[in-house]
Amino acid sequence: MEETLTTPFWIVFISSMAAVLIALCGRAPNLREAIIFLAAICKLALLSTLTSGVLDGKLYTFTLINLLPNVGLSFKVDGAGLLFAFVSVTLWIPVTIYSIGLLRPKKDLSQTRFYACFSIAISSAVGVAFSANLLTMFIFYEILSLSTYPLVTHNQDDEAIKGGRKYLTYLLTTSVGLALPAMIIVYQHTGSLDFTGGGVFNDKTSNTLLTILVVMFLFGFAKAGLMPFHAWLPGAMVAPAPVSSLLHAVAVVKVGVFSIIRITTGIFGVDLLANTPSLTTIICVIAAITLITASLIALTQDNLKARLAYSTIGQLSYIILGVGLASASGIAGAMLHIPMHAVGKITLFLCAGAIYEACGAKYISQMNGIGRKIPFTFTAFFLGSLCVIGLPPTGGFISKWHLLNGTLDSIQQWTFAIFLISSFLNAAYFIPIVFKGFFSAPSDEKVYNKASEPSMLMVAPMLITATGCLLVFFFSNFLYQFVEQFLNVYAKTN
Amino acid sequence: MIEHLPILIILGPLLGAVFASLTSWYRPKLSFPVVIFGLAISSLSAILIVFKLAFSELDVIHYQLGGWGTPEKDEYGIVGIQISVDYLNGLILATVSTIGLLTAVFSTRSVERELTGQQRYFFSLFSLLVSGLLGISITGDIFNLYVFMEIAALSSYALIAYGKGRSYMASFNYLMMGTMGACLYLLGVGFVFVKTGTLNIENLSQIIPQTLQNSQAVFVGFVLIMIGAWAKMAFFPLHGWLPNAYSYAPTASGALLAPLATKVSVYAMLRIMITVYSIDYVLKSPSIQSTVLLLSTISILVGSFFSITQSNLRKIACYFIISEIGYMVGGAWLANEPGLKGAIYHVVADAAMTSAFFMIIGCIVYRTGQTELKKLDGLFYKMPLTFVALIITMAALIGVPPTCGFFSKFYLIQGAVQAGTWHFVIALLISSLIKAIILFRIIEIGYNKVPNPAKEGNKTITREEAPLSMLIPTLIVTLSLILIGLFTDKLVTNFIAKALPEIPSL
Amino acid sequence: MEEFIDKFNYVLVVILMMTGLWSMLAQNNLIKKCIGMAIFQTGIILFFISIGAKNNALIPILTETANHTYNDPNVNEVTNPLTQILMLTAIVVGVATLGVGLALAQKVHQQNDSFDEDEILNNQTK
Repeated sequence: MEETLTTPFWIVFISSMAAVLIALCGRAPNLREAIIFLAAICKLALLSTLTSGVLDGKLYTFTLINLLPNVGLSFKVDGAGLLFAFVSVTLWIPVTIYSIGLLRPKKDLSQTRFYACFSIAISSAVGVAFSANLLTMFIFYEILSLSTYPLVTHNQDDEAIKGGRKYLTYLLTTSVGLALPAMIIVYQHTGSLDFTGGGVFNDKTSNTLLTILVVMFLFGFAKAGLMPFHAWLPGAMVAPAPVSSLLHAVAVVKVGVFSIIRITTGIFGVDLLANTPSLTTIICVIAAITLITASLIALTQDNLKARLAYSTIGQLSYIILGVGLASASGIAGAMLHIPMHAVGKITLFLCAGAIYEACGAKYISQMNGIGRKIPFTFTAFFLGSLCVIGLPPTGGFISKWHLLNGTLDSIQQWTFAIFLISSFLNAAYFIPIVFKGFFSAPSDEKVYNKASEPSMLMVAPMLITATGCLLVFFFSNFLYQFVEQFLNVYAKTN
Repeated sequence: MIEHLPILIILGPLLGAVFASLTSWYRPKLSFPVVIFGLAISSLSAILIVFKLAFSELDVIHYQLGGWGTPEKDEYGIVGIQISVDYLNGLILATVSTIGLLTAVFSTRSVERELTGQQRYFFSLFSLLVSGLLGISITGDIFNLYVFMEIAALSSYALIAYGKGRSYMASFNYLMMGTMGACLYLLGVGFVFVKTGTLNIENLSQIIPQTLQNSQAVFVGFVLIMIGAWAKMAFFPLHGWLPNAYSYAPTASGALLAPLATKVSVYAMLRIMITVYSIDYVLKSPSIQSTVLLLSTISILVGSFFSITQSNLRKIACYFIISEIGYMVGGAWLANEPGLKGAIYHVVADAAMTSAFFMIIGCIVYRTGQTELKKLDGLFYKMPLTFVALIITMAALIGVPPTCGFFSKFYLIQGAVQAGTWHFVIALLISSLIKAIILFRIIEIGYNKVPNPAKEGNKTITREEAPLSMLIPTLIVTLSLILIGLFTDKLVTNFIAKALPEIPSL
Repeated sequence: MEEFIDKFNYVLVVILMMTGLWSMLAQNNLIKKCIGMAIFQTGIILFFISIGAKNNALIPILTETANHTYNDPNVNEVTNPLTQILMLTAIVVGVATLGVGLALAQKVHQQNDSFDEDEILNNQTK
């Protein structure tokens, strides 16, 4: 059931238009921020108009313009896209509140640029969510890379410039060097780039070519942070806290994994993957290596943001591993892990930023005991880490449940062990922080004495997202409905 | 009137050149409006004729000069010069004349500053150059093509030499290389003429592919013509003259020559390849084909690697041209559908990209007096619009979607994949990445190197954009990069696909 | 040998063109380069003229008969006029190019006081 509707287009472009307005209203901060909220609310309202239709199994499509024969700048809204769009737009609101709380008092004069680029980034994330074909997705993917560069280098000091250079180098090199040729090879081979249920390949495509393409796509969309193309993520942590939280917990990295989900389900097709063990093995092995290595590296990091960054790399591999299982529940788990991990990790990043604002502590070794002085922040941190580790009653439990289920349906059953080991590692690198924060004696007197809760504008968003971690657990069935629609289209036979 | 449109395209700038120098004896200031008027007529006629072509059933619009008639119908028709517009050159004509017009508007202020008192000569030459380039594109006669080639070349030698200093030697080297290319072309024409007895392109296209497939003389002619065209377009290894010639020329000359002169030579090559000799003929000599593809790969790599070693924005732009030439020659010699589509599309796209780049350089030179990369720090705060235009142009050159550069690269890579020419694919990607590195360098220097001047305590930088007469054409061309990209499908299906000859399926 | 004599015009043309080309590329002196260019062009002009020539042929001029009408010339008795016309144009182009080339060489000489390419390059990169 496809229906042509311009709403998807407006949902994508509303925040780009907001970006223009934001740029024009640079002199009037209140008006500028009002525009952001207005845009976010409009986006949410438009998204919710599509919800009931999508849950009834409808697909909303819209083609803006034809770019190549057979391939247009087209949008298609399905369960997965809608879910992802909801996640990124909903989380945009608390992060904006948080950034107001963080940047306003500093009289930062690049705020206008910050908010404008942020809006464009949200636009392109939603654009990726709604893309109907690989080309459209690639376009929004590139716009996202470019529009987030000013955000990463926001501080404009040497460290920021270095981080930004790394960021763009990794993302552009891989997308231009691997994803683009892979896309062109697909187009040359099949004449189509549309995401369709059964994939675009026919039986004649050789296994070797498929294998090469899978590898090219996996590494080409480096936003997914698969090793060895992961180094941009810790590098980009020089950005201000709201940027790391939204972009490196939600928009940027999730766009990477979402792209890979789309490609594996829409271009290759679940059936093809399930029937070609060599392909799933490659995906699973690459993801498993990244998963374990990243978790181990995270253990060794003393810088809180760096530990979070490596944890993110590991969690992203959960999603890719889920896709690699090529079973319905594996993919469902992967899809669900996007919102679950997003809400958990965003809380953690916001907390890291808040701790730094509260007492200037960047390193975990400095944080002993400060939990007693900033209890709200640390409680939020605790809930966030529960969600990322995957313990009830937080959302992470649900997605990991589906993922573990998926391993049993799949031929890649060895991944069951990988999931378990990595969950232990997750616990090992998060729980001590919380534990020492509350119960240890202060390690750094200067930090301890300075610590006090940051402004309400920063605490409130943290608490909202921390509550979110719990809510997604209790309302996970609602989220699952979206995933179910997605599975109906892309993984029916499975 | 409408049937005389084809000739108006060349007559506009040609008469403009003549009258500009004549009226300037009476009043020097008149030369500029005269030239603009001529160029506007030409641009308008070119666009009209393209639309006429698109909305009629015709494949080609002919126009006979001198009343000799056509080679098919009339006894002495062979003697007459024919000009014709089809889908291939219609596109080129519209691009060349429009960019010529915009560049003329753009160059007023810059010429006023750099060549004070000599504007009238400059604009006569400018107009003459545009008419030469339009002539190459519109003519239906291979000897006439040579004549127009030399008209364009002679005026460009003079335009470059206006740069004083090192430009004289640069222009002299260009003259040697250009004349050698033109002479080889002429020699090739001689070989073709000996065998066929005709110079008319359409006539040749019926004779050569059908009856003279195996003639040695015609083959030698083909090779000579190709080498001639390559020398003119600075294709590796005949590229040595280009960087100096275009970077020591006055900025206005550079802005006109760089985008158009080389692209029109590429058109000439395409015309000879696909119309006169047919793709079949090209495919019949695979060893030459693979050599040319290898040379294009080297050309792309050489251009890219040299560009990254340069510290001057103009030199960087010049080496970009060399690598872009590799794109087009390579695309054409892939001799399959996507490759040719990509080559033709890239001629238009690259004309716009290079034009935007050189106009931006012109704006920067006008305000800062130099283009050393190191000295461009804080450019974003000084000239924000120009800087944004520079970033968009660079993005197009890299091939970031949805700019036009992405789609030309898409077609070219598709063509190379289809032909299995992997070294060409890799060269395209490497050149993209190198351009990306240069873009970062520009961003870091122009944007991040100085502390934000809006912040208290930091040095303030006053905003100082180039004058509007320079800025507006620059922005128009820059915007067109995105528009061309967005309307790729329309452009390809309505024009470029129709311009392609029949391509034998392998 | 007979073939060689038959085609001596082409041999001559090739010798001329190669002399010119060699002089353009290998000579260091700017004026010699210009001379080489002129020789190269002359070679091509001769090539075109000789392909239009025939044994014992007349100049292609129409003869007037009564009442201002003209006889069609017998194509076997006259040389090909087209090549000659073409070369008229080519000569003009060649003269113009040579003029521009010499003018540029003179400008370079004014600046560097030398016609020698290496010396000029040394001067400029100094």
